[in-house]
Amino acid sequence: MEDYKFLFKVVLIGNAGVGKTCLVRRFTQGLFPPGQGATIGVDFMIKTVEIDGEKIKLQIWDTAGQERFRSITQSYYRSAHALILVYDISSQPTFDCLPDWLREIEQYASCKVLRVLVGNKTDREDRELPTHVGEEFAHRHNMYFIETSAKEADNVEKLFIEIAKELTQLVRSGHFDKDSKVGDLSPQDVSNVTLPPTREPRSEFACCSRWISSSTT
Amino acid sequence: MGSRLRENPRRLLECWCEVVGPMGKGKGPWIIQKFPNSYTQEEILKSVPQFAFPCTFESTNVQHFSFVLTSLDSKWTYGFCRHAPGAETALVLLSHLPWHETFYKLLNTLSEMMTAGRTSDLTSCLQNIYKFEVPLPGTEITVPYGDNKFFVAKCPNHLKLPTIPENRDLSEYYNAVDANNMMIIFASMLYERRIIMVSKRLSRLSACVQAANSVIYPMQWQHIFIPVLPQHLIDYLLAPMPFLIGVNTSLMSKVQMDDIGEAVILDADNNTVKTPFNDVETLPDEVVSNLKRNLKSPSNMLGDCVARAFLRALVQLIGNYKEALQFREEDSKITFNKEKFVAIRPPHFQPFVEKMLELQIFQQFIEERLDRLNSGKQTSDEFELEVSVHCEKSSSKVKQQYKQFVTNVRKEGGAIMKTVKSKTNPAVKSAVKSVAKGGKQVKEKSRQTYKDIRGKIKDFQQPRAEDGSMSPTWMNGDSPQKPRSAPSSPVLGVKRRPQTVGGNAPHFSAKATYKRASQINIREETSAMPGTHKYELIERGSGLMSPGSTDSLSTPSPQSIDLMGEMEEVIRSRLGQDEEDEGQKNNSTGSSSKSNSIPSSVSNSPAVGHSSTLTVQHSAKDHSTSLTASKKLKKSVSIPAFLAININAATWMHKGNVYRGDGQDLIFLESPQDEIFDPLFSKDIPQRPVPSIRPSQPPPPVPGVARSTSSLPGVAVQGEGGVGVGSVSMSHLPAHPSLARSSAINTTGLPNATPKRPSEYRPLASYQGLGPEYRPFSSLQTSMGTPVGCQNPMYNQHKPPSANSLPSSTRGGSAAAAFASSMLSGSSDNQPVTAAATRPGQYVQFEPPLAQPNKAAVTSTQPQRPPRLSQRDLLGDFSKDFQKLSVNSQSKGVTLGNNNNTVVNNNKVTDSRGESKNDTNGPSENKWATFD
Repeated sequence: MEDYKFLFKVVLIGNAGVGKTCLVRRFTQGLFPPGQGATIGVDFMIKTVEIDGEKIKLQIWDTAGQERFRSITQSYYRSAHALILVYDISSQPTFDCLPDWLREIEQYASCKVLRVLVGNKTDREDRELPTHVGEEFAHRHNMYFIETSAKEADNVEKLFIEIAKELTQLVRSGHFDKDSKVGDLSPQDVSNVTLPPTREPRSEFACCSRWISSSTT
Repeated sequence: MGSRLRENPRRLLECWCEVVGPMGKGKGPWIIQKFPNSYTQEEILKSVPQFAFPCTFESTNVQHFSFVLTSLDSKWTYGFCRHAPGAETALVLLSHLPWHETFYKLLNTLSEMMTAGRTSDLTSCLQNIYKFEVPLPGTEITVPYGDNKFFVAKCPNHLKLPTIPENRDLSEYYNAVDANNMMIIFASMLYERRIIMVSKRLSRLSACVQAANSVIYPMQWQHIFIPVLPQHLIDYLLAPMPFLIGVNTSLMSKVQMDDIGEAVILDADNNTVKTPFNDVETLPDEVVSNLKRNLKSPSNMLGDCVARAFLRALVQLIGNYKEALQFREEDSKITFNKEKFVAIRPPHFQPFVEKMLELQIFQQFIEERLDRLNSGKQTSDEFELEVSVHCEKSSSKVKQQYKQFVTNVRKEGGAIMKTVKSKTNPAVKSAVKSVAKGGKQVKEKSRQTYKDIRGKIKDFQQPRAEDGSMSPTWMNGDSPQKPRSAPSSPVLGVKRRPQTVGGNAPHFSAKATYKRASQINIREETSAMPGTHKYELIERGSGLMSPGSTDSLSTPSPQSIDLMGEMEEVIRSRLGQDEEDEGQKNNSTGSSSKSNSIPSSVSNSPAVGHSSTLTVQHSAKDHSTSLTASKKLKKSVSIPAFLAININAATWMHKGNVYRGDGQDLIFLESPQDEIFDPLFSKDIPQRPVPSIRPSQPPPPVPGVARSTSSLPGVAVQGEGGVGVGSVSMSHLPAHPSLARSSAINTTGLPNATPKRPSEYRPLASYQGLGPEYRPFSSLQTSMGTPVGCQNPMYNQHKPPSANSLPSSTRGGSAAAAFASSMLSGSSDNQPVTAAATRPGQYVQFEPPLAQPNKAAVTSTQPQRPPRLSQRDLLGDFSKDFQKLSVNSQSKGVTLGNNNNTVVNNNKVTDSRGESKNDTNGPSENKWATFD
């Protein structure tokens, strides 16, 4: 493992077919040999980005292989630093499922996890979900929001860079309660005796929908 | 669904590769040759070299390990590797089947061919294996190659619980990791932690990872599963989701622990676990204490005891999931009600059970069961079976009844004794009398019905030479303890019911011989048994009796009469099918067993088959109560019933090569001498297997050997009290749920018995190989008719193992042999698996002692149990005959005997050993040492 200042684990979730894998591939293309999913069943990609002159290693875990699970339980969010919830702007059903996904996140993921809503496939002509709908949803649920196109590579880089930046800031501000090389986030786990003193995470970055910025449409 | 195994794999072997190890820095491992060349799974082929050479590791002796490749649909492909010290290449077999032992053995054979430069053999062997039809789990494969050479190996039955020592993975795990740490890992898996196992040795790594997964059965690990982590995938240790990964020590040092975060780390070399959690403590106390007790009991080593201990823990935790199933009107589907699932548990279980609902492994488990139910299939497996046993035990109602019963018996038993003796209480006396009278009436009735049936049966068979006496011992007042039974206890009516078909016990041992001339009157035994049992209960205050048996005890007695009627029906309906069944059986055991060597006199006789079925049914029903109880009480008096059942079972299972039941209650022990019986002889493989050049090949299946050993299981079975085996016959009669159910109870009533007993019945050694193989199987069969049900076609397609499908070790006649065989098949370097090291009841590390020589040494922790006099008495005459049999046919099982453990007839054993040695021209120990 090469040298880096911080390591962040990002997990992508969302309905099948919304383009999760494409997003990651687009971002990490060529940097990590893809395709381990075929031998391990779970795929992840690594990209090291530089934020303020420091190397940040992003490990992006794709749950595409887990779609056989009717619902992904606690286990998948346990020690992620950021969760990217993806829907397809040309498919209402994928948006309608967001509350379900959120419920799971609320239930299982660490309260400190950074949550980002991504409307993918902005290249599609047949948009069903206007940007403001996603934006409102994100606002309501205290999430960051961005629209991307994995196909056109729109906003993909930005998505991950923003996440890296945000996480770096959070680490520096002590949000994760670990000064260097963030390890696991402790989930709200009764059996976890080493739970760090609880903070109120939301207050620190309640600023939702920050990146609503420019989607290409 | 939840299973990670691919359903219905098309082939036994997917691919064979030879992989060249990494050369220096720049050049990674690569595949130098593969078979078949048409194998084009690029993703897999790309990965195989890395997985085969996952890291730099020491190699001082031959190492076998397995890796697992997970496809995107979550299914596993197993890779079996063999690394020889100094060799530049490793051999790899890819398969969808988790048959480690089989493939390790094949790897050894292939490696040998390559070393000897026998390329044509190699090719033909691979070709034949590749073409080989996927055998049924638990059967034996015989693959011909070259000139009249054969590769023979047993296919483990992965549908059953893994056994020690047959299952290498679990054996290694058990050996390397103590009970406490196994429990921590178990709990960590139930909490879906991120779990890392570390070892210097790849074989241990993969074994521990695989075994840890096997003990959470019926669930399966749903997350990242990498038995041996290749270097280039080291980042998977940072995965935020649960994983179970085996990491070589050298690789582990390259990872920053900070990055890994909270993970459970097991050092399998030093038997230490580091965990930031306290998962074991948060499991319900009684689950933990039971598990601990089951795991730490020194006798719980061999057989499936370790796996069963964990299974029981899971049954306690989730066994009642069915109570939370609901029928949804809208779409007519069965659904799972989570709230109910939690609510029905006792309060102290609820926190964990709630947590359990969130687990992927549990959700997959429930979904799988629901899918089955909704598609009209019922599931019957080890888990469901254990659940039914657990339900019997733990039903609170039953518990109460049981408590009351105990109190009653204690109070009244003593009181009655007094009053009867002093003759001051005529009321009690009359009560006793009236019960006796009632019993008499019941007896009379059932006798009548019984006669009816017998009359019908006589249409199909020769009249019996001798009829059993109808006067049961308890009626004659033979039993001095009779007055002690409490008349008011609900027990008596039912307890005595079995006796209504009773006779004189002495018949049993006196008449038993393997010749047809003698007969065994089962009714006599069955009558003698419950009586003794009953008194034993009282003597002990029934403190040890299982609640399950009380449950059955309190059932109304008239059932007995109904049973007869129903039995009759069953018999009638089955009569026509018996022949057919036999025919099916003969053809059913897969390619390796279309045996034409089955003695037709036995297997094709409907009358025989029918009557033996009847016997089993009869005795199983009558003793459904007492068997369980007697198991708990370790009351050997009940053995005659088992014996009766088991012999019949042996008839079925071995296609009648040894014994057969005749008449309602007669068992004729057929001398196998006249029969040409060769388990390996099959239509598929026209040539009889001949010994290979290799010294460590299995002994040639000489007919004599085969015959002798096939005669042995029957003997052993009695010693085993193999109710499970007995219940195999039940599978022929799935029609009557109550029968099957009672049999199911019996079967599972002795989970501990199988591994324990071999040590006691040394001359019956062959059962040891047989025991773990057969008991679960029969359990499966048994449960076909239980309320739990077994309409699972998966199991239905499993035919009763014929003699042909006996494990090779069974043919050898000894678990020690099985052990030695599994050891040696694992490593071609013939480590001295000496006779001393393979004594039954002892556990031996199968890997050549390397890291822990002390551990590798024999650990004899199995306590010697006192001989069971009653059993010995009853078996005495049999055993003599069986000894004769084994001697005559050069039993190898006997040659390996540990006469210290012999219960039955020591002299005979010694004799037979001597003879065997002479017959086989050499010390038997040598034979076993080279046995493959």
